[in-house]
This record gives sequence, C-alpha cells and structure tokens, in this order.
Amino acid sequence: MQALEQEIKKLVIETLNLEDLKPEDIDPAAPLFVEGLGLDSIDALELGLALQKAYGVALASDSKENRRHFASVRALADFVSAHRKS
Amino acid sequence: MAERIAIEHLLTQGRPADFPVAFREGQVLTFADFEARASGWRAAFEGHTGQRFALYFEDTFEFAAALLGAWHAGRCVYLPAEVQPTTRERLRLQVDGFAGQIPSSTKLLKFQQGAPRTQWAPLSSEAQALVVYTSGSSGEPAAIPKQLGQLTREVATLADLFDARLGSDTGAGRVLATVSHQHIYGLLFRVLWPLTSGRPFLARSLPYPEDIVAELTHGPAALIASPAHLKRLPDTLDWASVRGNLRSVFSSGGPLPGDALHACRELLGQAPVEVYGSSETGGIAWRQRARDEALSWRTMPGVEVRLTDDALAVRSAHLPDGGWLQTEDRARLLPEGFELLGRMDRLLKLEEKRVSLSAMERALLESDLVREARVVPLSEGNRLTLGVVAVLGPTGRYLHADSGKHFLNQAIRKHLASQFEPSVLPRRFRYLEAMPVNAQGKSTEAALVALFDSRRPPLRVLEQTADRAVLSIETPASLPYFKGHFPEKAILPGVAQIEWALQLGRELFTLPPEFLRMEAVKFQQLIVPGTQLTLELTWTQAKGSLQFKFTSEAGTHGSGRILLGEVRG
Repeated sequence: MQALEQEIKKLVIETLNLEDLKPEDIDPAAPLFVEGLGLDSIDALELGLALQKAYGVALASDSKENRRHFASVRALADFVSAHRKS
Repeated sequence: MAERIAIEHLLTQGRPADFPVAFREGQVLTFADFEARASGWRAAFEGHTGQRFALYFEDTFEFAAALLGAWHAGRCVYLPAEVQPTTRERLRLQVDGFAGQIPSSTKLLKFQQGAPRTQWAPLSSEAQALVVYTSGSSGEPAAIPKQLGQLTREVATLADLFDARLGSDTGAGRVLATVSHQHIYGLLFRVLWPLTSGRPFLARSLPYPEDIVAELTHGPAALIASPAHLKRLPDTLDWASVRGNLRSVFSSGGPLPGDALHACRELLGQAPVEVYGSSETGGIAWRQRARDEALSWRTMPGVEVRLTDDALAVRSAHLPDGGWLQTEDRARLLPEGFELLGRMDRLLKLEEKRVSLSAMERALLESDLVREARVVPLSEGNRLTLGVVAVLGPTGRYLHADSGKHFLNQAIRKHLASQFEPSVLPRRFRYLEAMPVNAQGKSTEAALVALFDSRRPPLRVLEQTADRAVLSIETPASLPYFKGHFPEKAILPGVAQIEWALQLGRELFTLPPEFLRMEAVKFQQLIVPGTQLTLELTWTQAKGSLQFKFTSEAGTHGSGRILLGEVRG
C-alpha cells in the first residue's frame, strides 16, 4: 500500500504541476483540498482523469462518494487498490 | 537652422551633397552618401518580389537609407524590436523578405552595389508604410500598421515643439540616442525628426553612460533616452565638464521615476523632456519637470483627449482615422492637460471566474512578503492558471531561507485568500533578485512567462557586473532534458549546457544576434540529476566571446566559448 501511496503522490505532483513539492512533503493522511494542499474542484477533475488513465478506475457519479475518495492520498490509494483493473 | 523637409519630399527636394546626415566613427556621412545608399536599397527591394519586408539594423544610418529605399520602392516596412528566434518565426509568416542583420535568414535582401542613379518621386502620405509592434508588457506584441502621413504629421509636431531646444546653428546639434530605432519612439526621435529638420545623428547607439560622456566632449548634442538608461547614470563620471554641450534630453517608453529625475537634474543639469505616448497612439503629451515633481502633462498640438470610464482616450492626426482611441491609462483632466493615475486593471477569466491581475499585484505589494510582483497567466495543459514573479521583501526572504519555497508559496496564497477566491490563487512562483527588463526597460509578459518554462532550470544570480555573472543552478530530475537521455542513466546533454549558457547570457548581457561558432568546448564530467551547479559567464565584447564554465563540488563539468557577432546587411 505504501508503494501505491508513493505512486499516487507522484501522480498528484505531476498532474497538477506542483513543482515546489516532493512526494515526501505530502502527508498521506492530510486533506488534499482547501486547507491541506489547497487543491480545488478543477484539480479534482484533472486528478480523476489521471487516475482513470493510470489505473483504469472510474469515479462514481455520486459526489459525496467522490469527496470521500479524494479526502487524502491514503483514501485515494484505498480507492485505487479496491477498484483498479490493471 | 537647416530647412525643414517632410520625409515625403526628402529625396526629391534633396539637400546639398555635402550636408551632414550622420556620423559614424568620426566620419561624416553626407546627403550624397545617404542618397547613394537609399538608391542601392531601393534597387534591392525592387529586385525582390513581395510587398512586406522586415528591417533590422544595428546601424541607424544604414537603417534610415534602407527605410527610405523600401518606401521609394513602394514597400511596407515591418519593424521588429528584436530578432530572437520566436520573433523571427512569427515574422516569417507575415513578411516576404528581410533586410539587415537578421540571423540565419532565408529571403535576406542584398544591398545593390552600383545600382544606377535613381529618379526619385515624392512619397504618398497615404502609403501603407510601416508596421510596428507594441512592447508586449501586457500580452503578445500586437502589430500596428501606420500610414506614412501619420508618421510625418507627428514629426512635424515634434519639430514645432522641440526644434528650438536643439539650437539654431546649422548642423551643430547632433542627435545621440540610447534607444533603438527599431521602436516607434527611436524611429521618430532619432531618425525621422533629424532627417526632417536637418540634424545630423550618430549612426550607432550609446548603450553605456561612458559613451555618452565621450560623445558629448565632441560638441553640442541632444540625447534621446529612456528611463531604463536615465535611472542608471553613474555619478562617478565627469558629467560636469560635458553637460554644457547637452542641449536637451528626451525620455519616453515608460514613466520616469523620481530618483531618475533627480539624477538627471543633478548630473545632467537639466530635467528631461518626458514624452507620453504609445505605439498605437504616437505622442500624446509632454512635460519637463524642471522644479515641480507633479507637473501635469501638456497635450501636444493637434491631439485631443477625453476620459472614457476614467481612462484616457485620444484623437489626433497621428492616428489612422478620425476616431477616438482608448488607452489603458487612468487619468484626470486638468485645464492645461492631464494627470496620469496608473494603468487600468488587467482583467482575465479563469475557469469562468473574472480576476483582476492588477488588483492581485496590488494586494501582493501590501504584504511585506514581496517588494515587486507581477502576475502572469500561464496555460498548462487545458487549464489557465496564474503565476507570480516576485522580488522578495524582508519577510519573504526570511521565510524562503528558513522554511523553504513551498512554505513561502503557501504564505503568499494565504495572504491573497482574503481577497480572492481559492480557484484563482496563483499556483506557480518564481522569486528573482530583479525583474527581467528589456532594452526599453520593460518587463514583457513573454520574458516573465519564459521563467516558467520547464526547460529552464531553477537558478539564482549570485553576482553580476557588466561583463561577468555567477549563477547557482539546480538540476532536478524533472527537467525534460533528462528524459530518455539516457534511459538507463540520466545525464544532462552537453547541448543543454550550451543552450543555458547562451540563453542566460542573453538575459544578463546585451549580446549580438548571430551565433557564429564555438571554441574550446569541453565536457569533462557528467551532470546527473540533483547536481548543484555554479555557472560562470564572462562576456568579452571586443572579441564577441561568451565564455561559460559549469562547476560543482566535484570540479569542472563543462566549459567553452560561444562566439557571437553581427551579420552585415
């Protein structure tokens, strides 16, 4: 799971071009949006697309569900490992 | 005083054969020389198909001859401010040929030696004579077409207003300039006005204050300058012994800061004549702040001004038609002219949200995190975001050194969050020692956006003089140069080192346009991702040599010389 978290941190940094951050700067349990990394709803869209490309996971149309998955890097890793096709 | 001759009639009416038109390295270039060069250039343009030609010359006399040659051949002249690769690419799509010192150019015109003597006919004021470009400080440079009459009417106004200031002795008051004729201000003030009023001009520009002092020892002259130069006058030079010869100083291209005004009064013994205008509008107003710092602008004869939504609008014979042209400068009208109150807000839509870049810049300056700041739009993938280029203030410096760049970025975002929605907050940051400025003293948007190019390594300038600079450069693994070079072990290609040396050399020094060759290039040790490099650049103008050396704790990695020069047109 830790390897997947590391991969997802790299994906977040690359997708969103967070150039001044290194994977080790991101706390896997910290919130990704608003108060944490300060990402916004458009970042969520971009990240959703990137996850779909990388792992073949599709996001649900249920926004409450999605908010849970996008809560932190750890939550994303849980979601990916449960749904990945590759 | 020499007879005033409008540019339309300069070559048909003519001046005495020995009339001094310009000076080059102590030599007088006469009207006969001028006519001969213009004739050869006219033949060159007539011998080449197409209507539109880009001119770029270092030498102002040769430029003036080529300009008149092109006009008498019925051609339209495109005037780029510089000929960097991106500008050349853009021009290639717009013009049919090039003349002058344009590097690696196809379709380059050759001056026609021994062309038969030309029968001149007057030029038409309605001719589509010129295309100039805006400086691009608020976006891509925009092309502005001008009819010949727009230019000559403006020159007539300048002559009416300022001729007397240059003295009445024929041929004595030479025109010196720090600014290039490749811009509308330089074109009008150092080429077209002197040609019209019969003032000899210096064929080369004077980029260094030492050159201005040396030229002033040769006799009376006027100086066409810009704030970029006037705010950098060294008080160590002997201005007192030469300023008696300085008849007038002109400043345009941007606002003249108070410090520069004081330096001019003290060192040059006079306040410059400030001219307010733009590439689109031409000259609008002028003032000379001999005593009153806040003296208002006086509208030029024939120019009308009014306010539209607090911004100045202009109507004049220097504009293409009788309509009003809206500027982006806020102003207050006064009985004798107007007062300028700063630029209008730059508005942008980010993901359907409207944001004022000017308001964000003002908000940044309210904190003591930054001392200077510019906000620029960056397109990343399919998203438009904002980037901040800033010179740090005391608190910002402290946070950067103590807690790192990411922490400082977040502090800046937090500061802005009280006034701006989270989704428009800047996402990328560049902290510099000084804002990048071009020869006109402006930070163009292109130069600011270039700081975010992923091929540009993170760097800091440690030391800089006129001919030497030391930089610290990081080589993060994310640099695109490492991708696939090589798949099994990433190393920085030698060509990337040369590209960095040349690119940074061009930013730090004024280098000639053409890459001639390289000498003594050696790559002694590999540069792997994460290497902390020091780059030392030395510019030897006399040899046209840019020397570079990349070192680190491990010793020297790469070194060599890049030879640069002019192409003779």
